[in-house]
Amino acid sequence: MNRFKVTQEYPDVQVISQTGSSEIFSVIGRINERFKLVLVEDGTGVLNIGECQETFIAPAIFCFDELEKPKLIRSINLSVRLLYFHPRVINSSYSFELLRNIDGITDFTIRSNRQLLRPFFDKSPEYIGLLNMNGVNGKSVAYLLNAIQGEITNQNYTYIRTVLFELLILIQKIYYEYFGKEKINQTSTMEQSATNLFDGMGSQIHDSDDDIKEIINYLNANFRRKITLDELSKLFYLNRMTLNQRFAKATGMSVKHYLTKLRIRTASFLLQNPEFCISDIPEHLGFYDSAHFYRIFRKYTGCSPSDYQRRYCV
Amino acid sequence: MYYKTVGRNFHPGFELPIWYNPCEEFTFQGTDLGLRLILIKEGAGILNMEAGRVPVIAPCVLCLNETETVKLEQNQGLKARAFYFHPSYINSHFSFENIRLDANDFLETDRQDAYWLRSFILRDPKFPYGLLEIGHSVAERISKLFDKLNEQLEHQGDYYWPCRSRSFFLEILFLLDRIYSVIIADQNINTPEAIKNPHPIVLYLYMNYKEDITIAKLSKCFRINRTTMSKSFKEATSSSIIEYLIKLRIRLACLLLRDTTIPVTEVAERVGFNNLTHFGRTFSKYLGCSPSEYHRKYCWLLNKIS
Repeated sequence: MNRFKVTQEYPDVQVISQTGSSEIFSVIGRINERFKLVLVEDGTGVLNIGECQETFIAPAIFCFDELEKPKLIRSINLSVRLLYFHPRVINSSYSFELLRNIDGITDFTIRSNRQLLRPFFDKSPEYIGLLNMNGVNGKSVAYLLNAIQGEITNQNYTYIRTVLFELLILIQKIYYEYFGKEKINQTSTMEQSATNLFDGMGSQIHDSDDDIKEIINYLNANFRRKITLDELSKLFYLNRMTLNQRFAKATGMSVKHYLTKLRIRTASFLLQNPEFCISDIPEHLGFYDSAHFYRIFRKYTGCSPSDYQRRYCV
Repeated sequence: MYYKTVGRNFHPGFELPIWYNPCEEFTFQGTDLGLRLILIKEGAGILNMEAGRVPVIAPCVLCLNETETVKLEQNQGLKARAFYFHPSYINSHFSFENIRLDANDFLETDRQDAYWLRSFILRDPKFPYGLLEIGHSVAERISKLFDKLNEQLEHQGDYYWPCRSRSFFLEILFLLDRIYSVIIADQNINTPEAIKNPHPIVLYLYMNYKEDITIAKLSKCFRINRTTMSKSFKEATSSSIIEYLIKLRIRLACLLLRDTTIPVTEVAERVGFNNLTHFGRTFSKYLGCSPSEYHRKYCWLLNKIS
């Protein structure tokens, strides 16, 4: 029964949530031989992972393998938590090498548990470890992290492992929702349209335009109130035209379009909660009035807010 | 030969040791059924098992192993569906023998995986039949997971259908394990007592516990003289009719307090108590704590919501 003992520098499963948020990101690079999961509970930031730069907004999670050393470039009101674990917790025969190369292994358990770990080690230009989520999933991840953290002191490892499985299954679902669209043949059109709202958001900004990254950060942090182009132009010392052009070049869309997407995306997350009152949304999210919100929402998702809530919350 | 699902387009010929039975009627018998996870969605009935005769009411789940057989003796619109599976579906090292033995050649994680099957394997006085009574919300979640799991087995939409089906199945197991651990930690009240013969009034009580039931009404309804009725009921169940009814109501109240966030006043009403003080007193008599204390202690939804 020594599977979970602290035999090396780091225990096999650990959750960290007290330390400052920027510190947590710097700790990740120092923890070797563990997969890491970061839950972004609040705020927004920009992260460097290898060659890529990623803007993220809560709620979201990052999955890192044992080698990645992310660097936090800047952040606003950030609150994050870290879970790290060795894959042998999931299956005693797992090593990092085995997970990356299972050619010739036919064992069903080894292969199917490996599927649950893929978000951590199987990266691509489309998926560099960031998973955006809705608020309900964000709360579920936080709940499961709490459960693990609570039992670490009690050393109830069988239970910890079960909760870790629950967490991995949840992450796998979120992962497939955004990156396995073509693989799941029965996705409804509504889910697809909600997923499309993510396109171009939080993904890499191809151009290394620092001003624009700054502006995106600002939008991500302030989109809940009304923001005008004039305001941005004054704040960032850029002429309106130039600002919009450079923004479009970096993100593939206008400032207004980006803001609207951000708001509709947040609205769609809020509406996945059956108890959320639709009439609260317009003023919460910087829409002029409810008619405006209804019109825009329908345009982006193909259904009215109330239909969306009903269909999601059945 | 055990039940299994065979791969078609993806992994053709591959045999996944799980099989879906959309309409479980308890007519299959024999030891080759393997482990069975049965969700009873509607109705009520009396099941005859080796461990005894037990009345069941929807929603509930039966976790059966390959040595157990079940006969449906009385049926009041019982609707059930089931998954039959071999333990190797959970872990390829597993056989019916070694999951009971804690085998020496098990890896640490095999031992931990085997733990997830305990509600199918372990039997004791607190958990004699493999029966888990569940709340409606849990039943709804399990039912949805049944649908998703079945969809994977039936459509086999991509390369990952066997893995994905297994992760849905694990989710069901985790949910059941949580309920199982509350039941075995709790007083015996959460286990329905076996009955000697399938007395018709037992099932009547299960179907009508919400109503105002009196001996006089029952005697009229079944057209039996009160003394004969009480005597035959006591022979069948070893309790008096009213005692049996109260225990049933308290057990169902526990279930609502455990699996929902329905307020105590409504719980009392739903299980047929029309006086809240009386409900509170009776509840503490059996459980040793008040309904709200029980709710705070065992309701696993509470942590999730706050």
